Amino acid sequence: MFTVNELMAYRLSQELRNDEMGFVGVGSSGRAFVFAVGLPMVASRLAQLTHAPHFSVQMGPLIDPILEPLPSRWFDSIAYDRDAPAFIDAVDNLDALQRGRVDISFISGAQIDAYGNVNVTRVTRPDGSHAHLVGALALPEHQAFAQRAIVLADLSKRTFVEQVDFVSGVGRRSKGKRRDELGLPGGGPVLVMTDRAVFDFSPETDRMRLLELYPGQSVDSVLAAMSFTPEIADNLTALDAPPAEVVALIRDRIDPEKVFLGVEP
Amino acid sequence: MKEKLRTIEDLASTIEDGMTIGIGGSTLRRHPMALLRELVRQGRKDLTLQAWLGGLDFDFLVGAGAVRRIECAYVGLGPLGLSPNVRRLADSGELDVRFFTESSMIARFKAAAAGHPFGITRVIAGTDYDDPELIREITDPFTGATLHAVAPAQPQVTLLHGYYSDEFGNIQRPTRYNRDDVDVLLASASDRVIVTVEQLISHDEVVRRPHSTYLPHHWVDGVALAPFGAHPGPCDALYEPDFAALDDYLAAAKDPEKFRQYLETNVLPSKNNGDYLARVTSPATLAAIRIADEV
Repeated sequence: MFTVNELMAYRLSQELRNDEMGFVGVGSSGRAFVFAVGLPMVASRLAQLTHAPHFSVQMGPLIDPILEPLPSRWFDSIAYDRDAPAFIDAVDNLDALQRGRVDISFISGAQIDAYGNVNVTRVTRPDGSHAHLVGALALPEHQAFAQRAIVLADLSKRTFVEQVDFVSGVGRRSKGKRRDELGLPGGGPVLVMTDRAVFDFSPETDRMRLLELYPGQSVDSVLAAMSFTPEIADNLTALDAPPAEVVALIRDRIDPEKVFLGVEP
Repeated sequence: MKEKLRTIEDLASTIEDGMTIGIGGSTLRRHPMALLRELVRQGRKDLTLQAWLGGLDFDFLVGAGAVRRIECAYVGLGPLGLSPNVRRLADSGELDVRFFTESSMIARFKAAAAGHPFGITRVIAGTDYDDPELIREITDPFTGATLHAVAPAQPQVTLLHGYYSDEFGNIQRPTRYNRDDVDVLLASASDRVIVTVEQLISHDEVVRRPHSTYLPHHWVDGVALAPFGAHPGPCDALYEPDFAALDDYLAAAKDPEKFRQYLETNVLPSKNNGDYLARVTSPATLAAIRIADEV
């Protein structure tokens, strides 16, 4: 048996390559914490313990911290106080990101649209008023400048919308322009991992494309949880359960206290 | 070198209604909360706040009715979620919110620090961060590419909380500290800088370790002693968050009437930061959250 979070962490870990640097930033609470911090941290440690021993994580300004054990509490004043080869200045950190010195970024937000644009700034209510969110952090930079980005979210009609109310981070295309036309040098979002399925983006239309279904899911069950209709890959595949030894690694060694993957969808 | 040691009350009294102030720290950590509490006691209002990652500082001042406008790349309480006071007043339209991204807000402070008329960023393209007052499209004179200029962010006064200082305002930090803030950049960008610190140390101690000084005395206009000055947030390397006091704060911040009571019980009648601490926490808790004392 496995949980959705364990499957997502395993699938995410497969995208992390040896000698790469991934960036994990500030988390909030609940599911938002699982997307921003929980899944990236567990997937990173899993990659290090399996196929990518030299995969590095940046925890904000802390470069390649020792991840055994993972921090037991995620207050930055506490989580960031751990052994690591380097702790860099915040301003230098943002400069490095703009120069493309982050290989892979993990993205999450309140809304994600058909082109991979993400909203963390404000959502518009039916009466036209706004509900303000956190603003930005470095999400716009990660989507603009990192070599590639992976979006993490639960599928729902409220989250997966045809067009986000506010473009905080740019996806494959925004305001009718492709990334190259906008002058964005980074790779941008390449995959969207959800609690039911994995998507990539169609190279022809730039729209989200259903790529892999989790065990027990169907095209219909996925489409029923989205406000727009994604494209469907010709080679749509059904994912297997994660290997038992991977589930055991996560439960026994990486996240035994369920600090990171404790909140399931 | 001028002698810079003042009381928190004196430092707060130099800030006027309607000023644009920069605030250091990030999300929950190492904000000059004792100084902000004194600003609220003195009834300051109509402030514009500029910061990189606003958090407890913004929530507190906004909830106390001291703020007209905020400019930042984030406002929230990190692991505790959204900022309740900011969200309530932003949603109602009473608070003017100008959101930037992390690097474009830094570009604004860098421009002010260098005396440049604007900063340059590539991150705005394709996004909806399109504030017509503070962000304008420009053409790269060398390549013809489209870029964005951002207006400088030059606080009239910046408020920081630091670790150690001598009587001249040479601000030092411990060896192991958190650098996830832009306090030094904020200080360089600002017209004036005032700092509260956890501990006063002798000038002799300071000069023996110049590499620990991150704010030199000639950047600092006034310094005041404020032990547990970042409470209920943490001052990394010296003390952890006071989780119980943060919970009480958060419960109050979610409801305007409860927040008014919180201010009337814990902040407005307290004579100083020590008196505030006695009202919201206990010596045992403060001893428990203390991490180390390197000096």
